[in-house]
Amino acid sequence: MKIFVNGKEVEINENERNLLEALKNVGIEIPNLCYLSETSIYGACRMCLVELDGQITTSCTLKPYEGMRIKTSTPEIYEIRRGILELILASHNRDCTTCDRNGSCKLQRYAEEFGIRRVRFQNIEKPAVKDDSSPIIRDNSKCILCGDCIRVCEEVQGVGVIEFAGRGFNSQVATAFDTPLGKTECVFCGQCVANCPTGALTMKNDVDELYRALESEKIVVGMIAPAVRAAIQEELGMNEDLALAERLAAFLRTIGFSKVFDVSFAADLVAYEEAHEFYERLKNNERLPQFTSCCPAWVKFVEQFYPEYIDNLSTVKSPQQALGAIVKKIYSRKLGVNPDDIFLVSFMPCTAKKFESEREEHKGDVDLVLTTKELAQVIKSSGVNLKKMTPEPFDRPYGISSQGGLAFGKAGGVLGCVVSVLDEEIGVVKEEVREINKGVNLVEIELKDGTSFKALGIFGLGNAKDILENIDDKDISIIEVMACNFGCVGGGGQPYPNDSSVRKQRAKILKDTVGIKTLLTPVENYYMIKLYQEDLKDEKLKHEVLHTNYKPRRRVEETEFEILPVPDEDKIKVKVCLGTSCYSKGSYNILEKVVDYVKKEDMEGKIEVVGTFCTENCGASPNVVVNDKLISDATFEKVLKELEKNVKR
Amino acid sequence: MFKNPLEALSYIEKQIELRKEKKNKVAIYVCVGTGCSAKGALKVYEEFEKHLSENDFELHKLEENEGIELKKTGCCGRCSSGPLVKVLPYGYFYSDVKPEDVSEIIEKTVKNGEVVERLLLTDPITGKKESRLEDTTLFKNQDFYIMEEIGDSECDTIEDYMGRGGYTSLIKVLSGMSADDVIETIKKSGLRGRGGGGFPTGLKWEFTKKSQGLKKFVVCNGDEGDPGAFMNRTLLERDPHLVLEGMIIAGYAVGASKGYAYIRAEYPVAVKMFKKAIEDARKLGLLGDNILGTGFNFDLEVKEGAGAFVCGEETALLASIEGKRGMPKPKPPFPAQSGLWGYPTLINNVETFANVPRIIRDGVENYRKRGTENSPGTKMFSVAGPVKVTGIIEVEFGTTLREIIYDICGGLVEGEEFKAVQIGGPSGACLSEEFLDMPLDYDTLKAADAMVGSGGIVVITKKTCMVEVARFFLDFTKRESCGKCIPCREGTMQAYKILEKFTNGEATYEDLENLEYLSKVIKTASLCGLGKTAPNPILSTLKLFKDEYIAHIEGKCPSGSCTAFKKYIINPQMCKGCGLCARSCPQNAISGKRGEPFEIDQEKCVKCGLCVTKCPFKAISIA
Repeated sequence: MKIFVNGKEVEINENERNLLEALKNVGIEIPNLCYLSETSIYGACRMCLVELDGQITTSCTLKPYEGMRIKTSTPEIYEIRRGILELILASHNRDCTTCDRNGSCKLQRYAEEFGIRRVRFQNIEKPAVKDDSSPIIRDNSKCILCGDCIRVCEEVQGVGVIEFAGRGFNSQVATAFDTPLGKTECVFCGQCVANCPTGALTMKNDVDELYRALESEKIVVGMIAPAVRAAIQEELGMNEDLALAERLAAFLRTIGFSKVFDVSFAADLVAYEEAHEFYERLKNNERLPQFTSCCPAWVKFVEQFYPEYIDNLSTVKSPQQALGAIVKKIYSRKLGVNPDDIFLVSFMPCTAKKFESEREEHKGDVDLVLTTKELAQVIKSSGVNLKKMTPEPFDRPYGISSQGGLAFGKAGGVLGCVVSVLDEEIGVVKEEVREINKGVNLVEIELKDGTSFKALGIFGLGNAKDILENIDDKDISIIEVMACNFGCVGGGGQPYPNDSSVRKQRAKILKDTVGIKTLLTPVENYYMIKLYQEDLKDEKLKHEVLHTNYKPRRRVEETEFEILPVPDEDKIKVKVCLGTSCYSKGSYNILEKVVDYVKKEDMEGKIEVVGTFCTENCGASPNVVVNDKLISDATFEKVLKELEKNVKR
Repeated sequence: MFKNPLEALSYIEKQIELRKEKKNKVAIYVCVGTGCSAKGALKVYEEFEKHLSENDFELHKLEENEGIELKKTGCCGRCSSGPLVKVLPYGYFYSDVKPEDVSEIIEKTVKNGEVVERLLLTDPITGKKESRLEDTTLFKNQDFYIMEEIGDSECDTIEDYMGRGGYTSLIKVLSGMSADDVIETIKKSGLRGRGGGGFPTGLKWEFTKKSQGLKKFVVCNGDEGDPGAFMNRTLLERDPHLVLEGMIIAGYAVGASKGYAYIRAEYPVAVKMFKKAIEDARKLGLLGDNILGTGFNFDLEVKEGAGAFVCGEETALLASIEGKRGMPKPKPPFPAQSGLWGYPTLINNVETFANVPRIIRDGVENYRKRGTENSPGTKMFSVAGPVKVTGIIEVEFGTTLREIIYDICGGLVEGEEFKAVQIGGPSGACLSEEFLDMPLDYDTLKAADAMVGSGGIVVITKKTCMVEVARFFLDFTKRESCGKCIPCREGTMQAYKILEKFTNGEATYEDLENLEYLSKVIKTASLCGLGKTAPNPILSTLKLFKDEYIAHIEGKCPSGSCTAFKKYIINPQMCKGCGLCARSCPQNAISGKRGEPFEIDQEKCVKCGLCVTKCPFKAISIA
């Protein structure tokens, strides 16, 4: 399609989503602060203005047509863009030097490009929330309300934990009831961080902890995830370096790491274990489809929103936690040291991994998780030029991996690796991959033993949600889900910018790195096989080291109000939900009646009455819990019946 | 439930007869619109009820012989004079009626047909008391077309609406007109959107009809949010069926099967009336499945708005109906292409829908007799400010501001001098004296950089500072901005801050420059109508009253209303030194010796003006 841009003929692709994208693809980048290709068009920043037939309009909402004549930069447009930038800056926290996004902030970049040296408007501070309760740090004083985070969270990830609250100038991005993010249903995928144009959403920085560990007596051991090596180059002015992981290993040793292992080794192990687990389930037709469990954001997503599917999750740990357990439980014995003497640092492309390492079941295995971004900071502040570092191999015994293990860093990697194990062990006769949607691949597989099944490879939790809501194909037996678009290469801990085009480039680098690996499948991994044969002979130990469990999660933290407290352990406990929905349907009346009953029947000291918020069963409110029994659509009579049953006992 | 249009028509004819009869009988109509209700109309109504149920021999005799009806009527537009009571068949129209006046009305008017002089409305123009609303100049100078039969139309019964010929238009449409016929009629009538923009209604209907969609919706925008505007409320309260009928016809024309009436929750009476209207219409088979046996299905639901001004913007309103945060979306796509839940949606203002049954009833030619070539029909305006009569008026398009202010509203109250009118609410503009004789219609207003808006007219006098007017409106828009786009969210706040500097006497010429620049940015770059029109109060005052802005920079507020420029001084000749002012001053800014003239310390003075009210000798004044 031909259009005229600033008087010059320009050939653009047919069927582009809008003028903004069309021009970007031919090298004209219209300034914008709220446009994301992956989400719905928002049109709020008003920066992407163009002139069409004398009218000024936004290019993100404009559909190109043949012969269209537009101007992208007129004095009027320039003036308006400047004005908009100044307006944002007037109420923006401009502490750029101490901002996590110093140097990678889009607003900062535009301020520089537009030569803004003075803001004509009054500096008005906004009331701002600061929240550091999770691996994702929120600082609303730097928020420009572009809504990118909200749309990514809701539309791409299907989580929707943040929304706008307040009106006009007092608008803010907020969680429900301003709950700290760490206590919400946020899965910490960090896609909001990846897409935030400013420093309003950043990843938690734990670099200081690394230095404290290096200073201590502890043996500091490192492990590097596959996707880190494909992305960290961007921060270090390097490009397509296929020996980057080995350079990183060499660097870490220079700053005091005793050992540096490769998480890809653990990926081999996990895929091997998961393939066997899957084959068992397939044969017995139980807990299918099996869900992969490498992605901690996905795991929390299931626990949070789809507890009914918890049994479908593979019980195999993620590579990070499997290697963590191996280092602490097996490797420490080999070294003859106490597990606590080892300080294990995991370098990850991911914010959710920080959360994963702190899960109750895993606590103490991995001591510190640093993101790619943080690792880059360590390298940069050391003054070392990584380019000049001679590559060194990872340490044995957890230092080598197959192509399959390394491919974990991009979407489809886990599934591919599991299938490669099945191919080695049973034999795959047919394998057909088909993209059914962006981010959803369907694989049809036939095994030598005659069984055939379908598998799905999904990226984006929103895609996963759609599949879970509409899953009806019984043949789908295994589903890989990576929370982030394009898999771990697009993780929330990766450098900025972290958009689709950058992610595709990282996937390419990782693919090339995978390509030069000699081992094809985990089965060929000598050290892994040896680990099974020697260290994991004991089934119990193997289970403890390689497997884990999951639990359903509440979305709202429960708060109890004492009404008739009973200190004794031995009591009947009545919890009446006083959440909005239950309250409006009369739960307070039930509460009053219960209190009257307890007093009248002289049961004080035996029956405890508390108010609670909330039972998360609003659809069937009012809700009352007697001991552990939930009474939904409750009436006082129903509660009384249950109470009397308990009293008799 | 009517099985076919004929059945409905004969029922309507019966109602017309009944209503004619009723108008010859004794009937008491109490206005229960929000204005009158707020002033105690319901108590008046109850008092009438009590009297009628009491053991009053004469009354019972009257009732037996001729029948006495006690009715609630919808808003008559004269809210400032409420509660209003009209007694038929005499047509006596009483204002400011209190419950204690009821027995006198019963004794004199109801029983004996005599008028209660003291309760009559004073004609603001002639200054004479008039016994009937119809006899007043303010009534004669208006054209009650949408508000037909003002004062004695019942607002809460479908029968009364039918008695006024209501629903005949719908029957006409359903028993012989195709959807295209209806659209063609609306197009030819020249009806334009009454919500402010003035977009041709027929075109909007045509676009919606032509849009492809599995289903379609009709939405009535009743989220009237301009400060001081209450035309839509009046209409919904006094004649909900008129709007309803318009919506059903629209549903038929565009092929919708479901409609929503989005009415702000702050209008509880309107919500109640409209809900009842829906129920009554449904019972008679005028809403629901297979309407009048014609196979046309259409049903309606009321959605209450939660009080955000921005939800008057159509895309924000639709988001609100969907249960989302009320924030506008970029257009295109227009609602006609992709509206509620992505389906083609027709959205019109309350008053626009109210015009539809009239057009069908009277035909294009008759409809176009009112108004101008490009703005046919009438328009309801709400008039506020220091004029003798405030409230709702209805005039033909093409009426001048002078006619409205002087011939209908009786001119300005004593001691006030005309300076400007603000028309169209926060999105509107200020017009100075030179525009008084400009005929009001969509195009002339647009040419004058103003807009009809929803129809609010505020009269501004010489005592009012125009910079303060702009500041007031920006204070409103900055609070009501949804916060989505930067120019509106940040820009209105900054514009407000600059205006505040003006009224505080801190502004510089650079501020004036910045204000002009900022207004341009907001106007050109904002996402929705609210933002694009938000600087209008600034731009119009800058255009016509720039001297006032400059005066503020130079240290003077010409109208003398901005506190910051006021300086209170004590005239030593008049001061008797009583010290009353000093004792009442909250800032201890006044001091002096008893018996000698006191003085005000200007540093300490906060210009509250309390001393002026306390001084028994009128010795304190503003310099």
